[in-house]
Amino acid sequence: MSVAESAPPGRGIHSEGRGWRRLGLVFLVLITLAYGLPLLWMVGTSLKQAGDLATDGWLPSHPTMAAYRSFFATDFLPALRNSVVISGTTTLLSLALAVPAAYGLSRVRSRLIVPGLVLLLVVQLIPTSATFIPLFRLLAQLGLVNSQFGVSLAQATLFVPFAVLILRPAFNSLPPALEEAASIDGAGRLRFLVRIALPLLRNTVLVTAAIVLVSSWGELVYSLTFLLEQDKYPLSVYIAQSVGRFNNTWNLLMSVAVLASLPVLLVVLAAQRRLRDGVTLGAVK
Amino acid sequence: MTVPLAERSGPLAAGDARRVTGRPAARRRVPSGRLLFALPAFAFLIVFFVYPLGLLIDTSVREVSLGSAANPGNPVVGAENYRTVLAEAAFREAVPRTLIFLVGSVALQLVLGLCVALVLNERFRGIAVPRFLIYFVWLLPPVVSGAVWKYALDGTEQGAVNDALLALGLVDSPVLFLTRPGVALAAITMVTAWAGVPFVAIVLTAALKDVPGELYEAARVDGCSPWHRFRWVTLPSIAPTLSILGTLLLIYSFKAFDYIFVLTQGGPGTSTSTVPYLAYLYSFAQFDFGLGSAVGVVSVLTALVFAVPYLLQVRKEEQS
Repeated sequence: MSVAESAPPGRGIHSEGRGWRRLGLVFLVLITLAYGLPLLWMVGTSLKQAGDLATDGWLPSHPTMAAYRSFFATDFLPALRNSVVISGTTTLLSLALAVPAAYGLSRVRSRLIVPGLVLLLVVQLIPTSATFIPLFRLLAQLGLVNSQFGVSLAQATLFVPFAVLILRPAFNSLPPALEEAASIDGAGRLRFLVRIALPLLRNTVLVTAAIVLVSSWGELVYSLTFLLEQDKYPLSVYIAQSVGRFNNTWNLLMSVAVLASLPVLLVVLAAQRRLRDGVTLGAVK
Repeated sequence: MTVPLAERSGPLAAGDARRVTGRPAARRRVPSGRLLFALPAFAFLIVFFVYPLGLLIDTSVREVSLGSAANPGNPVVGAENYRTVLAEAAFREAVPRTLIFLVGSVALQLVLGLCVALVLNERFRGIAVPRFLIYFVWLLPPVVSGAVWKYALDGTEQGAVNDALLALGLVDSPVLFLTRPGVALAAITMVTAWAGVPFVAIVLTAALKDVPGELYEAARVDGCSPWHRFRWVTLPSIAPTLSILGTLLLIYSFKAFDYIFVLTQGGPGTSTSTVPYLAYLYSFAQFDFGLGSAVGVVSVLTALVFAVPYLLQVRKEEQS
């Protein structure tokens, strides 16, 4: 394949060669279908009438908001409130611990750094199905079983390391002269962190908070095992438990699923590009 | 681990001094009092992660019955739980099954994720749509995607997949995707990969953007075909990212819980239970916390073994 003249300059590997480009286009359509159709199926089903579920195709023949209305009338608001309380508490708690830690671990030479970073990595790698058994015991000792704050504490163990690992490179990237200047002005470390560093790193911190928020919003294992009463369940547990129960009312379940994905929609619409930088830093660098 | 994860904090940072002297350079105007800021986070992790790991080991050598789970005074039975677990057919069958699931899900995610990243990096009209879908599904709560696939893979004509297969005449009767042992494991692997590909694609898109354009120019001048450019320029450039991603995906897949829970609850029987999932089943379906903890310890050790290459790779990355 030696046709080079039609290629736009210096972009990607398939930018020349019609065959490759066509292949890419086909694959692009496949991606769109593979990820678009299940979502269409979710929204379509949520708009179906219960009686049409067995006969309708992929799209509702008589679109209706009935599923949403009945869910709103019953379980939605308590479950939504629980989700907001748990994910909000988890996010605040995680950031409150992770921001100072990321600052404290940045640009410091100490023997403690390496074991510290290794601990942060290892915490993220351990299967949650191994940790919830002893966490249950610990929360029981603290009287926090069946408490939403207990769930937030448990979730924070997942998100504190993640947030520290994303935020530390950001603190490293601040010019050292900045902190020196601040210390000459008599600003203590805490004031430097709150007044100077945080405003400069606002975007990174917000993206980190957004990722923690939606991850906590969808978290299942800890919420499922540490909460014992139906009226404390967040949406994620509600969905997981409904899957078995709703065998003939899938339109109801899909309406819950749609509502539970709305925060994700907002976050992606607001910060798609920044999200990529966030995940790349946190995961692989 | 003797060599610290090297810190590079500026054009002429202390790390350079260390490279010469082999010892940490003098602390430049950053007294270690700064480390105190990390104290709350680490105190928190020690109470809520390190201490529970100790509790896990402790529980795994005790006989814990339903209702006594929170009491410290359960009788110590030594390695009894481990012996029981190793003799259990459910556990013995779960080991090869976990391996199959891991290999399948990691391979699918890497290959498909790379393809998605390559295509997303190109200029096509309307590419914003698949790109948005990829980001959206990446952050979608696993219970949500799990619930959608649970219905889509439903073993009646109502399920979207069976509906399509029947309409196309590919099958005569609905496939029992989630209730037939072998098929169900394949279905779980597919759904896990479907949900995992976006993360891989996003990370690789970033890695592809970092490949220097001059390399492609040079390859073009040399008359390399697109395939050769991919093989000899793209692939070597993103190899470090691919290898870290591979280990990371191995660990993430090993942690998989939500899709199994939502799609099959580990069944039929235990035919879709991975080893970590068994820890859940023993604890919260059979209420035998001792057995569950023994499986938990085995899972933790396995995860740590998987993590060794990852930790080494991260260290190497930081040093280079």
